Amino acid sequence: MAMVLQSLSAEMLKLKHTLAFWLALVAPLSMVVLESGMWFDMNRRVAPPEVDSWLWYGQSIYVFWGLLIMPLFVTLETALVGQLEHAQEHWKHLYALPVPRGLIYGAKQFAGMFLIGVSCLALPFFTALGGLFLRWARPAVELTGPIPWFMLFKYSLAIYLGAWLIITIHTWISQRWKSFAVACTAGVLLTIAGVFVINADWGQYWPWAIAGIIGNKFDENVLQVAPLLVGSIGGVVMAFVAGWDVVRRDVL
Amino acid sequence: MDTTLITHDLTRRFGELTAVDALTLSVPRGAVYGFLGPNGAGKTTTIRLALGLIHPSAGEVLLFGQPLRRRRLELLRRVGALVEVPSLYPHLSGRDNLEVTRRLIDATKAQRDRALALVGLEDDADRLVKTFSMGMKQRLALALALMGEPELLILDEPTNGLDPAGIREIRELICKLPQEHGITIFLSSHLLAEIEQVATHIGIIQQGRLLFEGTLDALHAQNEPQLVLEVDKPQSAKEVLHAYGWKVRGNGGHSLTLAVNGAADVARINTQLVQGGVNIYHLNLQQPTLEDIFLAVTQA
Repeated sequence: MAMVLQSLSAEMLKLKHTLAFWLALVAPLSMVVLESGMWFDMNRRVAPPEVDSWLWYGQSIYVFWGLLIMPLFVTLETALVGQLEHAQEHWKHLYALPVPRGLIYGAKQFAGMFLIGVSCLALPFFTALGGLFLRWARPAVELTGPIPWFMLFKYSLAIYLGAWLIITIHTWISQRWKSFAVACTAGVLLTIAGVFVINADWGQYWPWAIAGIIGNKFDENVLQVAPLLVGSIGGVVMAFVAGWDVVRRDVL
Repeated sequence: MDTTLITHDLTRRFGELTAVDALTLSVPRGAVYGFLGPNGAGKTTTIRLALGLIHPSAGEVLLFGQPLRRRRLELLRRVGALVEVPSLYPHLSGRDNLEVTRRLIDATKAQRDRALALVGLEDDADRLVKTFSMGMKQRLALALALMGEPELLILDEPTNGLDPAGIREIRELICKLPQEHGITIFLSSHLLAEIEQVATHIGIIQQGRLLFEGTLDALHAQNEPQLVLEVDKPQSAKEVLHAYGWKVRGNGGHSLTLAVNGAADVARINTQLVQGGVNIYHLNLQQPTLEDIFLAVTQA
């Protein structure tokens, strides 16, 4: 256990002064600023009469976050974390240390999950702040009710768990291939594909669409259990598969 | 003999290419083992095999008498390594770079600071590594390798990309480690002059095969000194020397070269030539350099 904690703390130290660390806060903030900007510009009630404005506002943010911004952000974060090692050929040094390879890879996996977790934790706070700003600056949007904190955190957590599968896939891609371009291109293409397949019958099982599908039911408060399980359990399974692949591979 | 690293018939193939071919070598404890070979000879592949970074196609690696394949983690605790380029995080300070590895290998902070002191970087430890010179980066990478207080230090081309001052710093450090800290050093390089100045033992590898292994003295002993002569009548000189049983090689012009056994041979040859009516302008006994020997071994 001590070895696990030491590996994690080493991984956290590597993130000091990195763009990856700051992006964890910038990404959700950007999402909220973008959506709030649109509501600010409309300057009228946006939600249908029967729906609470806060839920509609939250849903607008969470669906775009889950479907587009977060998958792209996962791509970028994991690619940046991978480049920490690729840029200076660190793998040879790390894997020549008396530390199990699986632990080193696991710590890397944890770093990606930690950064995305920070974003998902920050998202409800930024969403609330954006809503409060609109309530003050644009009363016409009618964000008058109480902030739905429980819903904001519940769906943020669900989106995060549903994203585990893509986090593990992109962690593996970014460790497996040295090229930053390969990691980014794969993420962009697979995310865009998610936008197109989301309405297909099997779309809810497309890893890059899962978080969007979960976010899309925010206003109805209907948790999409099947995609959530595919995303979270699939993420754990994929992490073991990726770890196995990394451990047995030659370090050239 | 007490050894730190042994390979038995170690072989590694990459498709059709055999990078390391039935390599059997032995690194005695306390030695500075210079692992020499031209680029592409298989030096780095051997080091990767020795550290368990890649798997052998055949053969085995023993560290401290035990098979690496079965006890990799336990054995790597006793080894420090610098493989090719220094693996550093430029956005972190020198101390933080060591701290990352310290946390991974569970070394103490005292060991970290001792490693910094050993490479003379205490005063610059809190600067970001991206502001370091190449020589400082190399020294920091050495500190990373030394932090776990290894018994065996494996260095792959540690002076690559360094200026003469940087090369000297690393050389001085390598020289003092076995003497002051009892560390065995396995040092790969294609820079012969560097190896000659620090190594006690030599292994020469080419096309994945070990061509020579032994002490530096043994290597020199295998290669006789050369006598270079300048004479007025080279053809007559050749005939005279052949008659006495010497093997003479013409260098063009008035110059001749022959292998001899020492100063006594030089005096004898001088007398024989003078008695044969040959005038000698110049007589020079040359000890072959490691470069001469290396070329002789690898081009044989």
